[in-house]
Amino acid sequence: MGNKDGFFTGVSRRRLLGGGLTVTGGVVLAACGETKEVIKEVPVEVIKEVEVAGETVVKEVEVIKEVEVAGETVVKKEVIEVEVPVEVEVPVEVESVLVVNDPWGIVTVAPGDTIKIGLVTVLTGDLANLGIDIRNGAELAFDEFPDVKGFAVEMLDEDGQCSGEGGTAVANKFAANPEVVAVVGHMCSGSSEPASVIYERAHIPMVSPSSTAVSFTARGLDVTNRVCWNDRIQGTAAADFALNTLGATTAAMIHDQSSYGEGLVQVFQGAFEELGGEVTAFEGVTVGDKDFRAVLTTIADGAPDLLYFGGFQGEGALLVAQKNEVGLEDAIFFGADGINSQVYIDSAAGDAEGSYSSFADFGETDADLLAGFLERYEEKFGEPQGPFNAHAYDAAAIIIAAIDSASELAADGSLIIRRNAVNEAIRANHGYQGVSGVIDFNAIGDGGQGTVGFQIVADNAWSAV
Amino acid sequence: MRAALLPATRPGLVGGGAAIAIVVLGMVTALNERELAGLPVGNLLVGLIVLAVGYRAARDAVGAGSRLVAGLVAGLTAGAFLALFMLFTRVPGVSEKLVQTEPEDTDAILFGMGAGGAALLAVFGAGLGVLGGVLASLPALPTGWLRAVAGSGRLRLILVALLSLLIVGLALAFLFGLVVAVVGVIVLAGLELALLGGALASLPPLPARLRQVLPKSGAGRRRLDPVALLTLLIMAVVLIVVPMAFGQYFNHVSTTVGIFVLMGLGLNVVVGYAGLLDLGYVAFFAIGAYAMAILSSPEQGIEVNFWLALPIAMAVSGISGTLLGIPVLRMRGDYLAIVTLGFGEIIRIFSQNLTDLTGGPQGVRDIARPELAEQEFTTLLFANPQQFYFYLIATGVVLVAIISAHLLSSRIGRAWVAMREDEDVARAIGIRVVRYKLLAFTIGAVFAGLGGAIFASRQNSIFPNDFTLIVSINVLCLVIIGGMGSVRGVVVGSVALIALPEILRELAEFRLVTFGALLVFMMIVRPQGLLPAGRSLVSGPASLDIAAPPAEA
Amino acid sequence: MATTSTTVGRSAAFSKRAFLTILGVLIGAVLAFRLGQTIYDQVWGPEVWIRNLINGLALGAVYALIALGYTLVYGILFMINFAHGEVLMLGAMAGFFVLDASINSGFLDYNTLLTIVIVFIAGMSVAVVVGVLLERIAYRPLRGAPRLVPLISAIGASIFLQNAALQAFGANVKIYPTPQITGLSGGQRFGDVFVANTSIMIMVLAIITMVALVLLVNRSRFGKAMRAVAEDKPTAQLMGIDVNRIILLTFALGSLLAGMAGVMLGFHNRQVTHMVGFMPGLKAFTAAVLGGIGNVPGAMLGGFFLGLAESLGPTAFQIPSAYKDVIAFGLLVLILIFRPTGLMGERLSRERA
Repeated sequence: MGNKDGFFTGVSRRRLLGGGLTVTGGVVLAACGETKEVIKEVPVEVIKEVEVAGETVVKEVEVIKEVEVAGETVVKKEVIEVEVPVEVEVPVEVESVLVVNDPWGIVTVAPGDTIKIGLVTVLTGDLANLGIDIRNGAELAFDEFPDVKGFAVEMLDEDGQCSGEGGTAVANKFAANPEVVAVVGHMCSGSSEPASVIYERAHIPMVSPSSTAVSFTARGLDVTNRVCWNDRIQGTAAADFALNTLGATTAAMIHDQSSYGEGLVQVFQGAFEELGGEVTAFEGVTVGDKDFRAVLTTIADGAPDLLYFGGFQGEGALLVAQKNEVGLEDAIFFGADGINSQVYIDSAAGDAEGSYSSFADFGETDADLLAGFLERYEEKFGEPQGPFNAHAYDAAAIIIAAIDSASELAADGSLIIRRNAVNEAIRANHGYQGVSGVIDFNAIGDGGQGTVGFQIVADNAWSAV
Repeated sequence: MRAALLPATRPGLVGGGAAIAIVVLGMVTALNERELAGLPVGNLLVGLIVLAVGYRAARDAVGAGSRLVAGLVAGLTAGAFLALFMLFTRVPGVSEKLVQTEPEDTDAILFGMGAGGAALLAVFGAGLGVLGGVLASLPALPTGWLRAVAGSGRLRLILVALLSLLIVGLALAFLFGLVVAVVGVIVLAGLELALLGGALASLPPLPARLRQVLPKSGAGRRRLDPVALLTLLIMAVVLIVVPMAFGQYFNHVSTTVGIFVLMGLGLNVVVGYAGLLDLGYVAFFAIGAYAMAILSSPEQGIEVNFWLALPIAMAVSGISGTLLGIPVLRMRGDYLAIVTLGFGEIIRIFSQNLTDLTGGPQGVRDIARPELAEQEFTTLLFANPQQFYFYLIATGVVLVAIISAHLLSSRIGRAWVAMREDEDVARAIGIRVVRYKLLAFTIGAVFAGLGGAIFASRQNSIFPNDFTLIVSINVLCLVIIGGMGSVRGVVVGSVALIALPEILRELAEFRLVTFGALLVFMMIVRPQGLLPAGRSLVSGPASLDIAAPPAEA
Repeated sequence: MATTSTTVGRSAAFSKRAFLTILGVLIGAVLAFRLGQTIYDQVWGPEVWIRNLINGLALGAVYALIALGYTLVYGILFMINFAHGEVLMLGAMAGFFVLDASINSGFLDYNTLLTIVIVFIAGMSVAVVVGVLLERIAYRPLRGAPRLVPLISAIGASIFLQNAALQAFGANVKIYPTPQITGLSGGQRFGDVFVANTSIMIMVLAIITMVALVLLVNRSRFGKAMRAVAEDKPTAQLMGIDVNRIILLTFALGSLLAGMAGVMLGFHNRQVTHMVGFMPGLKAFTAAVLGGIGNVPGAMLGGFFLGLAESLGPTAFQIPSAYKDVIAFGLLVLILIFRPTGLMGERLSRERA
């Protein structure tokens, strides 16, 4: 679990900087080995590098020495051999310590220390299965990209729950820890949004794998990024698909009363009506309930062509199974990426056949990427449980890559990470080929810009339409 | 000696069960990543449990010989039980079901020797049990000195609170290898608030003018207590200095604790004073929060100042307390509990579905911060908004605690207590039950509304998910854990219940398991709560009902 | 104050009752008007009413089945066993693991009926073990403590069991493969109305259980002892009844019912997670209170009432179904205004409550 405190805002490892810098001088002094008292010694020129022995270079260095011999000060030139660690380039540069400016400040990682990246999902309660799945996706990225420039990346795993209180508690914990560079998360919009205000002050960039609420990035904050679609992109495309491809003219809206589900369904409804479709019902179901037959019965009275569901796999599977019992056998069941998982198909058993969902549109090669990811996931964690694990992998990978491009090695061997540069490097990803699809950040941090594709359940598996 | 054999198997079974539980829950696997003196902490914990079992069993036995035998039997039972279970997990198909348990750990616990290891484990357990028995046979430590040093009751109370928090903190730091500072600081927070509670319970009399305004109080006759004054002083200094000394996470957690103290004080009025079991108390918290949000967020177009919205939110919450109190006037006990629980759910459902007013699941954003917390001031006065909210909530807590303490000793408080003890008798002696019931609901709601309004402002955006049943349950738990009817109990309860999960955050996924177990443990060990209402607060038969010791089963 | 107190107190009591009655009648009138409007305007076709009536009965049977266990424990101990839902969840989990094993070993195909019986037995026995342990560890030491103390202990136990299950068995959804099991899959069609086989099973099970419980409580020696313990523990003890044993057995019986309900719900809803017991537990508690807690037929009635209110309420009053719990709780308040001890509440429960 390591050093995860964050109470002391002032803990700095910069003090350690000085220690490393004096190494060269010390070695030079030790090399003299005479009883004479050396007053001053200035290296002039490296004559040649003699030998590479493991990790050190033995150099011949010409030095000017002032030596006190019998009360007299003698100045002489001498060539000595010096052992220098490979990393230290030229000893003379020592005085001009890398000057790094960043409007958001920097994070200095001392040699041997780790780069700390937060990971906030939901580990307890109703959504724990989705949350742990997302956590695993990110963990896989941390496993596969274990270091940046020789510095290990450490994942700080926290439970942000799906509530504002959980979100702000974690955000404050990270904000109080000057070593936290960036955050993968949070999972729910309701946790991400209050947290983002705190990250904004602390200049910690966040990349959410699954906060889809339009308002998450639309509030003019600098640190808010995400790799998933926002509800508007997905909802609009889904409405178009429902009307023009599936040929549904009437649709009933069902959401799970979550920020994700309700937001999505709102967008879908607007777009669907604008395209000339008719919405017959707008209903919310309660997460934790298992019997939705009553609400489906009233929906069936409007005889919609299609049921659009904003929510996750658990409720989705129950709905698609129960709709057949109340006279909605012919209505198409159409969900969002929240139901695009094998768990949905398994829970609904045969009833899931023929239901649709939106999903990232993959070309041939990209689909291989996802398949490869899922294979590696299964190998490490077993069956994937939910829809956003690939997004979490991408979010973590993007952050690690951004840190790589926004950091420099200092002369003393520590790593200096520029906070604003990290955020800019995240947003500089255009056409990034992630396992969850093509990620293309815009100015406000919406990365999920890629084309919305659609899938159908056929033979107990999701396949592209 | 034979008489000691059979009873000793019981703690053995319990301990074995506990050991199995921590294996199954994956705690051993997680803790084995650390080492203490070269030994993996997880396995060490298992050993410690068996040791404790031996100790426990031996303590009940009489005579040195039977002590050792009892320890042996208990340890053997625990070891054998664990060993049997470990063998069971090696049945193909079983270990995959236990997702948190790595087969390597199973092997390690069986010393990597399979069935032979199981026998060895049982013997090993017996050895540990004997060791526990030896420990139990040692002469008891003299504890009288503590009492002697502590002197007066209140000081002792504070000392005990100090000591227990310290021990808990150190034990956690030792066990889980945390950065000691984290625990230390949270312990400090606990102390700070415990001091607050201790001091509040013995407040000096109010200034004469204030006393005329407030309901006539029985506390007025109390003499100024030097101990109280000292604690009050220390408390004030600590309250002012601490938020500056520590970072924003500390302040955030303290503010959360403060918000729950406010709610706890409110619920304490309803449940503790008036005896009305309310399981839907979150309703008023939500109403206060939403009132603040709707009034001050630009999204709703009203956008009033924080300082104006605050009293309005409290008023709205208070009025809703009265209104919700009306239909439940005739209900008692569990009927009241379930109806109030329903109210809590109803308010949450409304917040989730009245989209035009509350934003529905999308919540309300950009809730006003008080001008004092704005950017330009923060650089001068406060390092971060969290620090400002700490001071704000601390002020609120102090005020509400004073009001709440004085309410109890006033005529109103006595009417509530009478009503709680026997409603019919209370009515017969002329207490207007309807009025006092509604008053309790209203005052409780106002306190919660204050907490909610500050919460909304601090969070900046609120969502229906912030107002689930769990909040009501948490508040009820903290009132009861702290000691029902007592103001300082509420403070200590909040620290225990709200700060504890944050401390346990280091345990990541184990925090709620630990929390639940601690809740049960706490109720068994100290059912009257940490700091129950003393005689000075509730007199006569009242304390019998609230703080009656459990009868022996 | 002192001279007028008695009259003031009486008039307050009088006005309270009058006021509440007026309030209740008003709410009732509004609801009745809305219902009349719905029917008069023919908002829904007849099949919606019939289907939702059936849905309500099926849902109500689920609540009733759980509420029976709840009310049994309450009736004897007067404590809200908050962890009842978690006992149910663990029963459902145990059932799942046995079912899973029997599928993997091919036993399900070999003898379906026997498999189902074994699954039920597994679920019920695990539930009984958990329930008994719960009573011994978390509740028995608190016998005689103030009423709220065991409640908190129960809440703690509930949180513990929920998260222990999450840790031990993982967060992934356990899926009962109901459609693969002949006899449990599919359903019956009555004209336009489809009823799932599992729904029918639950209704039958609930009714059988209730009848059996009523007989047990009223006719058997054990039932007599139970009633004696519920009425007066010290006296029962003096009469030679082993109070602790009776309470433990009652717990075992209540947990047995919870385990049965858990497995049944597993088959019915197919999905089992660590949270599966929480909401139904809460609803069942509501149902038990509605019927008059501690009363066996009352729990049944309350369960059905709640189920019908939830499924027919939004239909009848033309309200979005997200408000179904508002309707359910609203009706609960309305009923308790007129009958403060529930539909079938007895004098006894009023005294104790």
